[in-house]
Amino acid sequence: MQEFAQQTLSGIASGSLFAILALAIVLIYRSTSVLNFAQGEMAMFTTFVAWSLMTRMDFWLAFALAILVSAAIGAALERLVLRPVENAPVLNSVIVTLGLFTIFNGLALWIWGAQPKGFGPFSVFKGDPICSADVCIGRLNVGILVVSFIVMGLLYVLFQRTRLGLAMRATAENRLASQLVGIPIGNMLTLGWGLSAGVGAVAGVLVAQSVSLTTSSLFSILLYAFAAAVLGGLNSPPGAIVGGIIIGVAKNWAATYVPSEVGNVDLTLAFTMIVVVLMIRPTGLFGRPPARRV
Amino acid sequence: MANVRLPVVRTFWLALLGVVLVFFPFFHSWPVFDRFVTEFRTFNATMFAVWLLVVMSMNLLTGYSGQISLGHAAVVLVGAFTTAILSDRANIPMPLAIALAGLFTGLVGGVVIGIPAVRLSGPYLAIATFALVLSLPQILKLEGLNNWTNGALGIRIRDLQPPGFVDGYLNKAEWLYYMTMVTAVFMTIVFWNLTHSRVGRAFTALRDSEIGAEQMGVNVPLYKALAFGLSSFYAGIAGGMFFMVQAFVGPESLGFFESILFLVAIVIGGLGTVLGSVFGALFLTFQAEAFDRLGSIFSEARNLRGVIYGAALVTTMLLFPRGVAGAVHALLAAGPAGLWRGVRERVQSLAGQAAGLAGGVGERGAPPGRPGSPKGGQDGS
Repeated sequence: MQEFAQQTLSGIASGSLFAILALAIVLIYRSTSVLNFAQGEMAMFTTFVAWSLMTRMDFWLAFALAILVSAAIGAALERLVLRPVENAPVLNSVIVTLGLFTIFNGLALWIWGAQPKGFGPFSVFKGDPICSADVCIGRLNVGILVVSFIVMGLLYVLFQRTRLGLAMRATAENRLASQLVGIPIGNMLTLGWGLSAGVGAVAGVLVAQSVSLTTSSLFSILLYAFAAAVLGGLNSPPGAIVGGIIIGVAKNWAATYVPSEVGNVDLTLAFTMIVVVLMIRPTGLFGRPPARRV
Repeated sequence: MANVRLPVVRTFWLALLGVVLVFFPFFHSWPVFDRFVTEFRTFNATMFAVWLLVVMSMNLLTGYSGQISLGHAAVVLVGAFTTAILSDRANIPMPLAIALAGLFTGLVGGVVIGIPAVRLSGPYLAIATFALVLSLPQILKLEGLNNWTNGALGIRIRDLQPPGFVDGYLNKAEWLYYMTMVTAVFMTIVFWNLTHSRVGRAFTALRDSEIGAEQMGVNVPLYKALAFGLSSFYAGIAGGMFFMVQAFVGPESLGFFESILFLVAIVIGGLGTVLGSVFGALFLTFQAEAFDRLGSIFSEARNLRGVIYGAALVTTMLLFPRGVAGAVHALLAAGPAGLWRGVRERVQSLAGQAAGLAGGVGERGAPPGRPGSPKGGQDGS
């Protein structure tokens, strides 16, 4: 029982990493209907930027700068390469984001090399694990959970409580109507990408503290992030968080309770979950079915 | 694309191509030819035949039918493993094993992927196939399947010799060349006929507008499943050939990286054309060698491989949506000036979009002739 509780708690902690990357994926999908396969690699790239900055300045300042750099990259990409494919079939936009995937991966490899970089954990996340009745959780994991919820809270305020957020939601909902009421939809789409890339940078910096930073450290969680996004619903930000945590817990349970004679099943589990969700409820737990235009 | 040249001219070039393909393995021993063709090129040509099957398989699914697959390497891998298991464990002769593997993979692709895919639209299909290609190696390594797949070690061909009747005429490399090339040429002809038939037109209609296709009486679920099945059949045969030529297959032989490469190949070659498949296969055959050569001139090239592939994908998608094949067709139809005009118009429209000038919904639609473009209106996602 104690082991079960411990594994569940650790699962929630690792799930928060999937959740925050899934959140970035959902943000872009929701605002521009582009599925960004480069999300993980963009986050990885900006995490390397953060790593470079950290050797020169304070952690928090570098973190903030990296988020800004990431948002700028995201916004520029939307303008330059994604705008032409936003209204084109999904195939075109998926191909472009896969191109971005290999570009960012290749660039990071070229600039920073294949050697893993030591990265954190940083002062606030250090220290003994927090324990209660033999069940423990690391401070870093608590920090990741807290940061995820802060990011989600900020996004909630932005989307639900501000005029700008309303305009962004309107753009996602119905571009033509938004344009007719005077919303600069081009800027909203650019902002959507910038925002999502910023969230991606947060995800990258958090992930890199729990595993070491290499050019593949974000790719290894991308599948789980996709599984989380699908499970929660591709257009639902709260769904991304819940989905991430469920995937994290399920993965930890599988690692603990599936006998080792069977072999590793973590990736297979993510695959199975995606297929099952898509078969039974393609909109996920919290997603709304998209209105189909004829 | 209407072919404006005389049938006689086309027949001449096809006949010349046929002659070259028949005698290719012996070029390296002929005077004059031996300056250009080494013996190693026979292996290149063999792999070209295998890649051609792979690229056609992917083109059928993505280029013609508009269905995204990021996991195509996984389907080819299923074909390779099926062939390996049939020939190694069940001692079935190689050609029969490959044919059976093609049928099996086609059945699996049509039923296991195709039928669920009927319910899935673009982005979901992309995610599901992405998940498939990442998890297949792990599935193949499951202990329960070890007796068949041999786990992480993979399966090696113990002894494959050409049959007795070619003794003294062909060595093993030449025999493999003829096996793969004859299959590839035959399946290319089938492919050409298929894509120019009622079935091919139904696939294209499906790609351009699912709702439109339905209105025109295309049985959408049936043709979607059929597209997956046929594409998987080609992929299965290709996988079998891959195993026969490489003499080995392991769970990591073909993975996500190869899936991306296949995608680069069809996009650069040209989505939705037979010629595009040929260019795509040429790309797959020579890309590794080209990078090695580039690396000896410019040492950073090897590290920049991902960047170059990615840039090629993005620029091709934005500037030449029909790839090299589209450029060749434009060159033949309108000459260099016409090709250049087309590219210039695309660049101008992209620059306008980036500056936010052409921000209108209607203006941002796909240009005519772009593969997979919905005819009017945005796609229904």
